[in-house]
Amino acid sequence: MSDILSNLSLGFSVALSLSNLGFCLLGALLGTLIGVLPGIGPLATVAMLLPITFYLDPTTALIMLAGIYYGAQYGGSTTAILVNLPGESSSVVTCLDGHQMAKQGRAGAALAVAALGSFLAGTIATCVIVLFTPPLTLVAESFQPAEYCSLMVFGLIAAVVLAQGSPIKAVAMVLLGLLLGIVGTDINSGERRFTFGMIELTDGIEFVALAMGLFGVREIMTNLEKPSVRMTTEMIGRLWPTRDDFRRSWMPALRGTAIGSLLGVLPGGGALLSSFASYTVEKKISRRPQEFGHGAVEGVAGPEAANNAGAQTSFIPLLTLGIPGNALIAMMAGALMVHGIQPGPEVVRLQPALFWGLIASMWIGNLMLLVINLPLIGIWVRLLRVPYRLLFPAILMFCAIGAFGVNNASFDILLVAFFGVVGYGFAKIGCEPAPLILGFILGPLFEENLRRTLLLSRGDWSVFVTRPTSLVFLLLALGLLALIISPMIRQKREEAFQED
Amino acid sequence: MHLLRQKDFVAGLVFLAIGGGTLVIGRSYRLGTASEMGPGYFPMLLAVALMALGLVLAVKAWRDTAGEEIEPLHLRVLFFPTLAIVLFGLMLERLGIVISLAALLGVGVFASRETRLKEVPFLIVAAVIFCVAVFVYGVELPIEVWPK
Repeated sequence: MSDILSNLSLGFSVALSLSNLGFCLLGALLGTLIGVLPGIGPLATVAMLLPITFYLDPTTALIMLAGIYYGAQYGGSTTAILVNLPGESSSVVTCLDGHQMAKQGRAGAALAVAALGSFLAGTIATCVIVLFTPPLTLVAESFQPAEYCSLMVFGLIAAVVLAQGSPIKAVAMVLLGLLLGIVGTDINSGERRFTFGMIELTDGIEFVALAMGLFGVREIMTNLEKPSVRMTTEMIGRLWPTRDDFRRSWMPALRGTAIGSLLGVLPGGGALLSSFASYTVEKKISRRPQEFGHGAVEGVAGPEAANNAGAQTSFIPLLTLGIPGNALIAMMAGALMVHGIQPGPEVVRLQPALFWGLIASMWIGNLMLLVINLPLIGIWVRLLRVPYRLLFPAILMFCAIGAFGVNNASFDILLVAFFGVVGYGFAKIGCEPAPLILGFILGPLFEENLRRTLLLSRGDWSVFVTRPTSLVFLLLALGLLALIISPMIRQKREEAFQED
Repeated sequence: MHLLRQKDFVAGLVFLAIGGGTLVIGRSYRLGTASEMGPGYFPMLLAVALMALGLVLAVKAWRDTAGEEIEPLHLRVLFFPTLAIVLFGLMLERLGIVISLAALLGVGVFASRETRLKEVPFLIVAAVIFCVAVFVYGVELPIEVWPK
């Protein structure tokens, strides 16, 4: 206990330094901004901002990126409630009841419930991280390469199963990501692999360029296919919820927090799945299920708490095991690696200031969001009116210059264009780019651990099933695959994602 | 013909092709053994798995004729952003940031049907001022403002 307290005080001393506070605020504001603006996702934004973070100290960089992540959850709900457009995919369910509340003139109450629910969830989720991360890292430190391989297999498969879309295609995208991840010089033999004779690829494909192409540029392309929608925002009304709203919201918010904290830890979990799950649960156990979809405040409080909790706890697998559970967390891993920090259990021990500073900043960031967001809603609403025809050239510009900035290489700008086209093509055949990013980050790590495992076992593959921990992970992965193949579960899963 | 318009079938073919291509290129890398993997070992594993998945996708789509069709490609949104970025990449180090940005935005804006040409010069001027201030003087990227 005293350990936790001394660690937390270290964390707060780091997070409360002037520059970290500033970048935490900047990240939270940027996150809210992109959360509010439909058409710019958090993935594209983080990709655009990655080059900037290279100029920062790694702790500050991570604090800012994390701020963008949970700020986006806050911002996304604003658009969902006021315009009935999810600014963020995780706010899709908030549209259902939040916008109905807005139509009844209770937008202010909906926004406040969403913000308060998110803050409650953020606070509890931060505690969850504090309590569970250190013991988990101890477990992770006992892992041998064999366990790491099996864990990565489990993580990747779980990420795929729990995410949307066809699981076969998603697994294929993971494999493709792993392949792209090993482009460049093989560290063991020094041989250049899949570089097509290009010297620029000797050090591998630049992660930032890949992410900008697949998310930033591809998003522009798919957005411009559709004509832009005119925004009509509802009036905000009174900003404070009624006593009745509070009475009906606090339990759903707590349940949402629990669901989000749990699902966030799972690979592939995170914000989106958590909010869907919470909405389904609230509707199931409500005494007034008929009110859902017609402005039930429970349908705002639960999912909003869940997506924020899920966003926070999805850091746990990265910080304890070094395995990113979703594409956004994979980008954070990428940012750490650029600074020469390999995410994993060693981070807690070797970089306590980074680890605890990040955690403390999450809570501070949530507090900032609560304090600044409600008064600033008027400004966010005005930003909604910035037309996409002015926005997308700016995104193009940030992607192009940002890609150059990483290595000062024009080649990386061309890579952005290449992966933009690739991403557009994959979107057309229904393949999500997110699993690819996961694979890309894990590619070199996976190969290295596989190599070591089989070197230690003298080429004997059975080591993966004779080591108990490794066996458990593989069985879990197998179980998940079996689940997804069984038609009944698949139907349920589709239902869960199409909750109306 | 119909089959080639199906999302899953084409996806299967794409994965088969990528896996096959990897096998062909990867042939030249030493395979090694499981206990002492050469640079070719892991890519081979991945390529075979990728081809297997591609095959499953393609066969499933072939048997299920009611699969989702591919939506038409919009060449406009594909072409202009790509060309804009490529031009920028080719020009930046030779012609400096002002001309490259003008090219990037001047070409890129055509991706949208809603672009108003009157706004474009202002957009470019604003972008140039911002980028010169932030990227050239701020973070000091090694970029020239004008051609050397």
